Amino acid sequence: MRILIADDHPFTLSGTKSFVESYGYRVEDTCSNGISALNLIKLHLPDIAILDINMPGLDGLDVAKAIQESKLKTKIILLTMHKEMTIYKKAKEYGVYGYILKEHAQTELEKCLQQVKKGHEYISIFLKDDLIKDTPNDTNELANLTLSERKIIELITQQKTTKQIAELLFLSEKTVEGHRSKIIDKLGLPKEKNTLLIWAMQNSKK
Amino acid sequence: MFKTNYLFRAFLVAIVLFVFSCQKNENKEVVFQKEVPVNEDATKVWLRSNDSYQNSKHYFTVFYKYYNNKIKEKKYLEAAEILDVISTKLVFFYDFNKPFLTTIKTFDSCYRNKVPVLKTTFIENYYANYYYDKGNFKKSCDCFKKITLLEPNDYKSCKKIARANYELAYVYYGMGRQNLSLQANHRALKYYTKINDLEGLGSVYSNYTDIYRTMHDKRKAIEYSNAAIKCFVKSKNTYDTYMSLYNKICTYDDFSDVKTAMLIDSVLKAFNKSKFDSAVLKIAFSDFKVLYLLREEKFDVARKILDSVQPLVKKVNSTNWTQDYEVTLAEYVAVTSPKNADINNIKRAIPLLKTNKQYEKLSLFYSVLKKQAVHNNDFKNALAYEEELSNVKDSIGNQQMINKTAELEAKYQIEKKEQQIAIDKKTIVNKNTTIALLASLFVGFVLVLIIYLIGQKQKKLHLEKQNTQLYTKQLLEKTEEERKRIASDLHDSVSHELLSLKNSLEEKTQATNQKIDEIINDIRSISRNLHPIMFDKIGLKESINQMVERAESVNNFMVTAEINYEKVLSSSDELQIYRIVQEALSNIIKYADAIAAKISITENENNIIIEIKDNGKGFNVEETLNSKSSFGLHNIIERSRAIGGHANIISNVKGTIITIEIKKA
Repeated sequence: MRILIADDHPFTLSGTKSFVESYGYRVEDTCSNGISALNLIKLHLPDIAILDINMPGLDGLDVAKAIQESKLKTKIILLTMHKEMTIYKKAKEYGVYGYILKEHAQTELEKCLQQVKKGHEYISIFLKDDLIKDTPNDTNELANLTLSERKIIELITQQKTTKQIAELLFLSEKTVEGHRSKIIDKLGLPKEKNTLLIWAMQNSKK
Repeated sequence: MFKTNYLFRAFLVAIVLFVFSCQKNENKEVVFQKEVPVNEDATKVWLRSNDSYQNSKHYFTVFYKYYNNKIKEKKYLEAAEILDVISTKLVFFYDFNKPFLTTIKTFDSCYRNKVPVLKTTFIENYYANYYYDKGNFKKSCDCFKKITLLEPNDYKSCKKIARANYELAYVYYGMGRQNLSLQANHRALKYYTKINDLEGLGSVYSNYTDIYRTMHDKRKAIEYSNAAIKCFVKSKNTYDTYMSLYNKICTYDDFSDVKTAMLIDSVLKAFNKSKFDSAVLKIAFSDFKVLYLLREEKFDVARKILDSVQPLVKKVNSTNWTQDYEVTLAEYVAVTSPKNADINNIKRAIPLLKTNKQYEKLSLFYSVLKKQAVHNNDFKNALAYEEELSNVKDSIGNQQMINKTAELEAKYQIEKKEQQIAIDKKTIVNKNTTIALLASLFVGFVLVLIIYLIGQKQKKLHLEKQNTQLYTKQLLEKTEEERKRIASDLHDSVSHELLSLKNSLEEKTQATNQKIDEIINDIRSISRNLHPIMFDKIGLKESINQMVERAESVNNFMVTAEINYEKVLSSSDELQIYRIVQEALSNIIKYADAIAAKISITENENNIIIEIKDNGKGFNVEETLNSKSSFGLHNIIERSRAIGGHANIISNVKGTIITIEIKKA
């Protein structure tokens, strides 16, 4: 399998190259800016291209976009410092197969290559980590709920009606109802009238 | 205190004196009062009465006896007094007999200096009247003038001066010196007014009548005529009343007024009815009546009157009135029987007519004379008369011409004056208009200037405002650029370096690894806070969603984002919106104490609306904006403005809503 690597950091580039080669893959070519990356991809048509997002010229996303538009077969893996989901989402739009964080590259790169080789997508498991920072020290049950769901329960505890809850949280009543059912599902509560209320009162005492 | 008291008293005294002196002055201005005559002896009283003079044969005898006695007794003052009384009477009755004249003369030369000046004016008065009656006007004037030189100290002196001036005016009038006559008359008027002598005033007004008549000023002549009549009626002087009526008739006749005949009749009627006994008046009125009867060709009636008046004329024996009668008679003769006329009458009348410039009568008389001469074959005289006639005709023509000219002249003067007034009025109007115009122009100019200056100022302000806005925008953009640069430097360079460091460390422990990871994370955080990651690529919507998610997880605060927006604005503008939302959200989390918040961006046809609302405790917008700790709010407002939008912040206890409207270009 032929692989192309593009990164504007010389250290990272050489590091990644040695890693890839150590896994037994052939590194076709390397470059350190987006334009040459695109050109080289077009030239060599590698199976996989490992790209940094932040590069001079075109950045990784632009290259991915261009590849997608050109309908080339090369699969793109983005190797980046950015943990933000937003960037990943964007990358997804451009048909990127792999998304790995540089700081975890050593541990994840191999697996990623394997997956992508098979034609699967691979996303760094550490990506989602970023989002959850505050872990509530409450019950495990609450830990499963999203923030909105937790807030709704808070208000139920205060004995607010669905209408009031909708007003206070700037949601529509429908949305609130939807959340309620979801909560009931998640908590595995019986679908009766005031089950949530009772549960909330019980748990808030703690 | 002593001093002020004294001053005050002095002041009072001064005021009192002043008031008194004023009063004294007043007295001086006003009228002299006629003194009540002391009781006179019986003879004097008898001599004074008109009745005595007219009817007593012994009048002069009594007089001379009385007078000579007084001279003998050296009572010169009393002698003078009686002479005064008699001379006045004789003047009144036109009696200038020689004996009396001699008496006067004697007194003048012998005893005059023994009597005060005021008491001897009768001498000049008698002489003056005498000369006038004889037709020596110049000498008459001189005598009257002498009297006017008296000192006007009291009632008597003022009266004498007034009377003298009046007489003087009359003489001048007879001489044809109208201007001098008017002047003398003015003086007479002044003195009579001073002593408030009605009769004097009346006589003065009569004079005016005559003068203005001669000056062809009909209006004034009649005006003064009426004034004279009024005065005499008021003073109950019948003789003078009628005399002034006679004067009025003369005036009317002179101007050939249509009402003359009527006036004559009414006056005559009143006169006859009153049975006032005055030969002179009778003669005067009768003469006029006869003239008008002649015009009506009522010759018999005229003859009758003429005959009845003749004895009176003889009795009065005044040159003036005799002549008047003669003229009337002559006219009668001329009209009724010119051929057989007693031309002597006519001839006698002619000089008087010439003096009085009665040209119509003259022409009549001359034509009569001429006819007679022709009839008598006296061709030399006829020719002479013819010449005189043509002269007279010329004079008439001249006279008419003069009259006409005077009339036209008066008219012209009036018109001229009126025109002048009109011109003046116009000039004034013009001037006013010009002034108004100039004033309004000036005002207009000033206004224009003010408006212009205001406009300039506005422009300047506007320019400044624009510049400020531009600067703000540029500032914001520069700031963002910088932040982006720093963020990317941090994130890309520093993190990378750390990563490389981590990888290249020889002795790697779990602790070190973790530490380095933490540092990398911190840097990532800092970088993210400085500038949203890859904002240009990600877009506003995703970036805000990211921000919201982070806010929720970090702060455990619920924020709903509803964004209906696809890329319309420029990246830098979108970044400003991002910052606004960032600021607003940060404020809510810090201060609002809210349960939840919502961010919505809506794209409409004409604008884009960004709304950030919460249900927190709210705050006083105005107060906060004006306080020192309001940088965040102002930030929002200014950023909105920089991207061409407008921010509106509403807040109350129920919550806060920040609305930003950006109009689409």
